[in-house]
Amino acid sequence: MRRLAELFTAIIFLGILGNAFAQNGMEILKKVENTLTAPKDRVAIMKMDIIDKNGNVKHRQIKLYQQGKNKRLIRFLSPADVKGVSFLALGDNDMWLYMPAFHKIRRIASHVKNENFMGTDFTYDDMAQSNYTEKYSAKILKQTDSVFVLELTPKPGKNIAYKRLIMTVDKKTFLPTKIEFINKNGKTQKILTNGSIEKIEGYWTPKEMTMENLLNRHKTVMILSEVRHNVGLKSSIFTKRYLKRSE
Amino acid sequence: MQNLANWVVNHRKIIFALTFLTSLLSLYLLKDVKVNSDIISYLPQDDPTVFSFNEIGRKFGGNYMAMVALESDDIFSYEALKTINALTDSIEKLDGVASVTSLTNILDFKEIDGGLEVGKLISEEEIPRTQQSLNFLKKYTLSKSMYRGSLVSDDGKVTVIIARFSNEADRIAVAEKIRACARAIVPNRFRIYYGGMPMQMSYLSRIILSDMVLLTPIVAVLIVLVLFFSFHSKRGILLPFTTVVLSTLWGFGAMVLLGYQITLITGIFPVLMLAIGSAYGIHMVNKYYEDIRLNSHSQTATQKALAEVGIPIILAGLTTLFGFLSLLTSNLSLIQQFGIVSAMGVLFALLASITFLPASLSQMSIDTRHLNRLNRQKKTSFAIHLMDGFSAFILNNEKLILLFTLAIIAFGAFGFPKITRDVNMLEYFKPSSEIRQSESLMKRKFGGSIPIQLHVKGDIKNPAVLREIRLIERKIATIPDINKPQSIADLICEMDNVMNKRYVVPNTREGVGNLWFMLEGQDILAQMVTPDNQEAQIQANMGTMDTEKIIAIVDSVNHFLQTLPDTLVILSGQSLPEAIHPLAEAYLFKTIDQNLILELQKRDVHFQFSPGFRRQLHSKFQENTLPNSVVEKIAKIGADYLASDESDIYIASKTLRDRFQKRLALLISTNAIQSNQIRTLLERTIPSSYIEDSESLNGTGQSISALVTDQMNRWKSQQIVEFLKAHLPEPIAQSENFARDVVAAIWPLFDQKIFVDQETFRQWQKIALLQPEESVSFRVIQSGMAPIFKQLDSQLMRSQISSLGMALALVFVLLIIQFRSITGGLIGITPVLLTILINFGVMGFFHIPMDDATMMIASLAIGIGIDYSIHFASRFKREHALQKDVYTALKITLDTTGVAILINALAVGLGFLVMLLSHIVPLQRFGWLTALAMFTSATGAIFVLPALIITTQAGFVGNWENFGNTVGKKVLANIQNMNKKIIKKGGK
Repeated sequence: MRRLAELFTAIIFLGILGNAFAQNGMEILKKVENTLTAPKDRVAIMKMDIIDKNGNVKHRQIKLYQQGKNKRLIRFLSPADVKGVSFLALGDNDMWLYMPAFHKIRRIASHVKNENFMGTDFTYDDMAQSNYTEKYSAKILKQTDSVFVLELTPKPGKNIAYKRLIMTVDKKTFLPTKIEFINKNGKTQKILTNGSIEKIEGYWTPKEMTMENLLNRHKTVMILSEVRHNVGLKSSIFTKRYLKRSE
Repeated sequence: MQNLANWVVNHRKIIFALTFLTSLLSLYLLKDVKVNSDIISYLPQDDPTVFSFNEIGRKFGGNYMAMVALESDDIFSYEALKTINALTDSIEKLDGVASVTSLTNILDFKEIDGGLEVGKLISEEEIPRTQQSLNFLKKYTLSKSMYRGSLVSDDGKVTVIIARFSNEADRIAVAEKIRACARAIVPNRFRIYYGGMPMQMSYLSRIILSDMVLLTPIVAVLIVLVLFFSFHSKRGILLPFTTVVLSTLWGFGAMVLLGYQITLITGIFPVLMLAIGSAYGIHMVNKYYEDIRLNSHSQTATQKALAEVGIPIILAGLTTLFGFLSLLTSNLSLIQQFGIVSAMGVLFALLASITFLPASLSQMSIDTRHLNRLNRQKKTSFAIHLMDGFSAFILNNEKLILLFTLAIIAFGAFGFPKITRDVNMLEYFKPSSEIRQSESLMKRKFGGSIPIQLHVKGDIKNPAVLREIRLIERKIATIPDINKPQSIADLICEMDNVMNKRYVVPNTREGVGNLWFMLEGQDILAQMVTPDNQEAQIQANMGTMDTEKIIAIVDSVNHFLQTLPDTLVILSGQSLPEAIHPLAEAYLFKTIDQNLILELQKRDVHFQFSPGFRRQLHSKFQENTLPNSVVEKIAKIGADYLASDESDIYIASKTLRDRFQKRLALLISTNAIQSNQIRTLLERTIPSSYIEDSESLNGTGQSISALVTDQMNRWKSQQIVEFLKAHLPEPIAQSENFARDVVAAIWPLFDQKIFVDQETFRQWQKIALLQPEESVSFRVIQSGMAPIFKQLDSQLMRSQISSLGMALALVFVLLIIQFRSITGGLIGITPVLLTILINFGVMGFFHIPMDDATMMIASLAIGIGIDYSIHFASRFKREHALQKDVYTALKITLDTTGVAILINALAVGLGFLVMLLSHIVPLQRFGWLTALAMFTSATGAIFVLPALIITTQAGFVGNWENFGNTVGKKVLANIQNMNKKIIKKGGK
């Protein structure tokens, strides 16, 4: 009888402990999300190097406009044959693509969230890199003096391509320094590394993001420059009309 | 020889020790014996076609591709799709698999209510379950040429899952794992087929091994039986058998040391060794038993026997060795290796038979019981009677025999040119084999499994290059047995279809770039273009396995490729000088006519473009007036744009838009739409308060211009489609994608640019000064398996002739030395020559193709068959000196050597006949044709050789002066009478 009581105590205690960890995990994730979306808006030039397994590199340059959590406009500056190709995302089900060669805008269907974005190793979903708390539950796996390691598991009913994410969060900046994407087969499919974290206009900003696909040994390196925050972007920028504009 | 005999007997301990050590070493090396079923590695790697094949495989990751095909009543059922998905997933997880393509993970471009979806054809999370959604999926999938006939069969009953291997993968191991996955996952009611090189390799490995495991023991038992009937003694069986087993073992050891692996052909090495290698031991033991009756001492008997038969054994071994070595003149490594390994095997058998075997015999005490049995045994048997009959027949009918020989020469000479060649290794398997079953399914459902591959070099993103690729695809699709060409150009067209509702390569670099951009990072791109976009491949299926047809295809593709320009010049249509306009128009119309004709030919319709028809068609091309109703409709679309959320200039007022529409309609009816005109029109119609800045004016002008032009072109192309439908036979108009392909064919009419070949450009430049926008160089080479087949085919004949010539020359020289007479050489070689002629005659008249195995028969027949002639001639020469008349000499020769020849030929022939049980068709053919060759060369030695010697009274057998007289008419008559009696007795 006493042993049973001990067991109950243990279970309850473990339960509380587990819960506490889980809560902490969600809180940390919320902080991460807040850090990532802290500026009202952001404009930057992004250089993308797409490197295949044989080391062949493709260079791309884009201009990025971002407002709040959901609104993004990406415009390709180079290479020449894709200059002006623009992509507008106003939410999961509201994505548009403009092809200047045909003066045409086409809606991009929502199914593609888990597809790679424009030949990079980032999926459309990865590109968003926010809304974590809406999609995932998090718990702390471990922590050191400098980092938390979170395990993110998709919330029920969310269409997520991964089984779980392992996110290393820097305690000082609350930015993820590394995210491991574990696919449904349990294999680590991709690793995102955020480097060159700098405080720009008061916001911690990773200036270098590397997404490495371990399965096909493909890699994408994105380097931000000319980063500006809170420039007061008009909401008219995030429209199909503006999509057609040249830079 | 006596010295050797003495040495062998005196140093038998050393011989045993060496034999033991060599065998031990070989046994140890045996662990490294590997099967090499990579048929590509059998080819000469420095050959340009092989190099090109490897290069295209490396660049586009296609040579090592495994296919699993599933067949069921309907692939578009929930269960089937779930199975495909599960199998795709599990194959993807295998180490060594780089990527998997299947219905459940293939990329799809869909147009959904104004939206573009680049995603999966079937979402893994939502495999359709309801009949309605499954039906929709089926209809949709089969409507797209990207999938139909490539991933799913036309009838929707077969689908393929394609796995590409990483370069470092252990192909056979991965192929085996794929089989295991399929067996574990796919329910029984589906039929599974495996295709592609790695699957074929894994199958071939199994076949080579199972053939070896099956055939070797059978031949071994046969040889043991032959030995039993020959000697009726333990040592008579054991010693020659051990000798051949040991030499086979050493042969494998040598194979490992030489770095060779077991191939399709060397797989028969043990069978071959057992069949031919035991002969030397048999000779030795035979002679030993002959001599042991006269010598009570085993060692003396052995020495005597070896001293006497040593030379003939060495001679017989050498000729066979030469036969195999002549295969080195072939430049197919497969055949060279077989030649070397077999030559070494024969050498080992020969060495063992004159060292280890006599050493063992001398070690053994005389088996008196067996000796007594031997002495009691009557030497008169059926064979002797038969031989006596033969000698009489020969003496009476030598002219007839020689006449018959002439008939054989004619048979061979007429048959030889009829011999077909077979170099397609897939054809090497029985029709019931897994490989052939898959192949026939692939042929039935997907138009073939062996690809035609064209390697394009040039700036692939250039629209002129992509258009040229489309032209090549159109053209090769008209060649019989070439199906479904596919390339990056088709993907661009697919994208264009989704984006712009037409199946065309855009005429600007930006247009191509924009569409291409959507494909970036997709696996499929890497299979079609190199990362630097400077090389591409066009792939098509080849619906035939027939070597001659494949060669015809290779030739006609090459012939077409030679007509292609190596430089394309891009000219702007607007800036063409006036003087060039009619030429440019004629060039354009000619190009379009050509496109249309190819589209018809592709559909197997040979419709004559008569001058009258051309005129009508061309006037349709030139027609520029649109009916008012159409003009109104298009103008409305243009005006409505101003009310859309895309337009930079937003006009809510309908009155204002109507005004714009009216003016736009006027502009459209003049048929000259340019964006600056629309810009001007906007400026004049829309109050400036609506216009934010000049960029918005430009942008809107461009958008409306693109929209309106697109509508106009669409209407016009539709008119041409209708015209063609009305004038062409009904079934063409109904054929798949007819409208789509016609629009694509005529689209150059609407282009702002014109792509011309270098030659045309030069001619135009003579008339007016032209400023080309760009010129781009361009080269296409045919690569892949098909040109290799052509190459192999020519090499096969060359190999045949060179190895045959070499074997004949070597053996001829040996015969001249042996008989010390050129006539002797000529006569001696005749039986094998006849054998070869019969072999070729049979191959020619009975449609047995020449292949890697049957090609070797001639060399082998010379190497082994010549032994019979040597044995016969040597014995006859000896008897010629000893006997009084030709009949006795012949009779004794035939009674002794003749019987031995017959028994040997039977034994070897039976050994080869066992190969009929092989799973590899050329080996079956090889088996029975070689058996036939053994029989014919023995028959030749027994009949033709004496007939020739007697007729010519050839001096190399001895002096006929004192001897020939006895062959008088009288004697002959006596002999004839005697023979009749003998034959009657023999018959009883």
